[in-house]
Amino acid sequence: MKELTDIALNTAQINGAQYADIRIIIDHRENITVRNNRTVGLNKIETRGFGVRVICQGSWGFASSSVLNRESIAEVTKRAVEIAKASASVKLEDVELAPQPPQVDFWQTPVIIDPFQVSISEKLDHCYEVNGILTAHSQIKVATTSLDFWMEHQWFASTEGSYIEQRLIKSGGGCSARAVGNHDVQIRSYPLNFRGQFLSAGYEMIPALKFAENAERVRDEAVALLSADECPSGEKDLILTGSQLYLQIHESVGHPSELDRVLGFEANYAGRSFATVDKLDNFKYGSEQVNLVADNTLPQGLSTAGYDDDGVPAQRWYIVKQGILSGYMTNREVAPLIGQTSSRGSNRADGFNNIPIVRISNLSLLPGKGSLEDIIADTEDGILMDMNKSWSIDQMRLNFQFGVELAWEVKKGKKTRLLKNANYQGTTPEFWGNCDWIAGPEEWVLWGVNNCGKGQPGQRAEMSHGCSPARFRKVTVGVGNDFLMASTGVV
Amino acid sequence: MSKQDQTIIEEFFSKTAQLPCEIYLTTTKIASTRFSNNAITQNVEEFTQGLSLRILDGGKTTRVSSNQFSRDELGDLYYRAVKLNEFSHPDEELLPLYEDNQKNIKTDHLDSGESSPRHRAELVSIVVDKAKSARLNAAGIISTTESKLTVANNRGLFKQSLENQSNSSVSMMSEDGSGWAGICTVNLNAADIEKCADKSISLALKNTRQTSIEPGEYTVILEPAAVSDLIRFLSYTGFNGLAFLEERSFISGKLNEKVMDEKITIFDDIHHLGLPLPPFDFEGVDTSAVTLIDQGIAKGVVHDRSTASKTGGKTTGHSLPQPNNFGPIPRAVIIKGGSGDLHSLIKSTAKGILVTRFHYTNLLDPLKVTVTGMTRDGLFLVEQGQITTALKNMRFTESILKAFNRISAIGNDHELFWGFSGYNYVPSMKINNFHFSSRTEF
Repeated sequence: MKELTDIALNTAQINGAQYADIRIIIDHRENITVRNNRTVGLNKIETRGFGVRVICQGSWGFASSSVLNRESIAEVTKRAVEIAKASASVKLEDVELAPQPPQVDFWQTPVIIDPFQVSISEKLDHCYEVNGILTAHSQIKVATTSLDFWMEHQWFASTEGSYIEQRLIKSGGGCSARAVGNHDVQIRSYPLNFRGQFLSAGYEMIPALKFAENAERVRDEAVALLSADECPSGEKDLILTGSQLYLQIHESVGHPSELDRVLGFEANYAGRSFATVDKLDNFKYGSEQVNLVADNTLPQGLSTAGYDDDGVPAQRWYIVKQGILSGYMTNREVAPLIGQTSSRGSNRADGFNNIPIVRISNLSLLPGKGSLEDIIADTEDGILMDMNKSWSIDQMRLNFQFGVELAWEVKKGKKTRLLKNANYQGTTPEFWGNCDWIAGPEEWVLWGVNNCGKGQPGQRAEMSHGCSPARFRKVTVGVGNDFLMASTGVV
Repeated sequence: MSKQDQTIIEEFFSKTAQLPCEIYLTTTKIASTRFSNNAITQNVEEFTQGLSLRILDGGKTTRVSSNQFSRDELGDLYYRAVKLNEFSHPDEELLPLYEDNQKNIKTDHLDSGESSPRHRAELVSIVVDKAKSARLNAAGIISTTESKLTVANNRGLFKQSLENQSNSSVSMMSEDGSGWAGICTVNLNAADIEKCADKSISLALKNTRQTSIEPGEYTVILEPAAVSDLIRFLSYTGFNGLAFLEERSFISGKLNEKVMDEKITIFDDIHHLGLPLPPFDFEGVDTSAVTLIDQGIAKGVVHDRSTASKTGGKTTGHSLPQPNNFGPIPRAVIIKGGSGDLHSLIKSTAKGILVTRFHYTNLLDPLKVTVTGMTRDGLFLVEQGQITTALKNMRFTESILKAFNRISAIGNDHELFWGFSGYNYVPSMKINNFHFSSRTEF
């Protein structure tokens, strides 16, 4: 590939670029979906292409193409330079990248079993077995089982001398059952919603998820929810399991700590952030127990790689330390804008065809002590919520509302009754400030987000959030349930 | 598609006639310029193509895809699909490929207007100059997309469509407030961008010194952007033929019953206004207009061939690539207008709240179509027919179905927005007793 990457770098420099990089990517994906004992997805996808990014006259230009040959690379690179020159006509200051020593390296995701070497037959059989269990109840109207595997082979080269080859492998799978009855629709998913749990790992993770062993419970819980009581409205102590807490971390800490958002780069679309630069190292984001660490070196994390798409090595750093805002997700462009001398390595692109932007790295809540059972036993009047179902947060990342698949009322230290349509609402610093118990490392699980959307044109990214169950005091729950039961209107 | 590409596909089909094969060929060119803090921050162009081959054999089906297109690539995909299909399971519901010998090559919508990097930068410059004059900070995007879709099979189908669209939007920010405006058109032109800039400036200048109000029930006047956000949830969950059959739609079991206020009529029609959409779906079936709600009465949902066959009806041409997990989805949802415009809805309101747009809305309950979300970029108190005060943003948690039973008035001031899988063309609306559940700090 070096011959091809050199064409881009030389063409860019000849045409006046101060900086250029090229990413060539060959991507293999396999998606299997079985729905109600039918194969509705048996897809193999292979794509290849390249994207060239240049700084010329102090501004960025980017162009990409799926036509991967010498002529196309030269032509697209010239186009990127032309685009950068147009950008330069409406700029404030020249783009200055944080210094980064050139890297020449090869890195790949450690896997035990290459998922593309496992037969389709075995994968399909696995999906059908689970689907058969899920559909064995008349009130289950939709049961899905899915497996997804992808391998991104990428080559990054820059005019600063970096040449990095990476082979990133991700695997995932999940199942869900949707029950219909009693004028209601309820869903249960396992191990996670949005097509399940994903890790930077090989096929070895799939049997470890034990779908078949959990399918009956998932099915029966979905059916039981149809006749469960509605989650009451009011202020309660809230206990979150990891399958909800991971998204709380993502939405209320991950996105607000993206420095491009903080600086207004996403103001027109996804929004900005309340976690402004003046708050760094002094703002109380949460209680003293709250420690959130970004870590792209974390084994099996979805954003784990040797290098980001700036060619910056993976790192580990605090975003929130003992409750204080302590860091941001940065790339080489935005780090210097707040006086930082190096990037944290959070610059990633969705495929060859998109420009890299600041993305959430693996971001985890460090464990405390004790177990979920200990937390429940210590709770007088609370709600235990499990598995995300809906999510919404304002553009400054303050007011949020999450809904979950299943909840339990907790009274005097015991789970008392099953609840449906549970949700909770809060404001980010107040909510994290009321976190008084995080369970210990024995219950810490790394959860994968495989569908984080950001940017225009829209880009998808993957990252992981590790956490143990945790308790948050005095949280508003059952939002709207009282109003919606009472309000008028034909339904 | 070039003549050469068409020849490659036809040659391939002639060689594979014994095995039913379906091909999608797509090409997409996206050009977009993003700006923030009164400067261009991202400027990109991408060219991608896609080739997808599905085969049907022995009551089984398999899809393989690539982003390269050539005679060899197609042959290679075919080889891989046949091999993969051996492992597939028989599907009793699998339908044969759609047969249609009428070639349909749609070539209008070719004039996208100028979209060079230089031209887009000039448009950004106009917006930024306006922002600076108003002492505001501009952010936004100016983008164009050219897309081609070919759906063909070796049972005679060959349909192709070329479309252009331009999606642009502008946000203006002051120290304590913001305004936003967006435009969705076929062609990029300066007048539209200037209009966006002017509207967002006007809103940003009004949206300042906000006060807080208590959560609760209020009469709301929703601008078209806010209505478009809500209609998405009715659309993909409610008007979906598969959700309807599986009793997951609010229309399930309620066809020909009153489900909304009689002022509401909703239909799906891709031919309305010449929207830039392929006139056929992913099965190759021409898309028909469908009445979904007629004066508050549930009248229909959209179908693909699979869901239609289960109802004994005909497909409406709203299929996604088959087979799939989602079912058919509306492509161009239109709410029939009432009378008047936003100004008249405000003027007739003794006390209410004007919502310019929503942010990060999400579905809580598909049968009641309960949705939560935030307001954004301009929330205003209306008193005695006039906007009196800017308000801090609020969260709503509301059943859209119930809210659409409390319609007080519908405007006739439609705007076009990109929806879930197509377009929404919707007017402003006034709704009584709309439920705001909490507030935020700005």
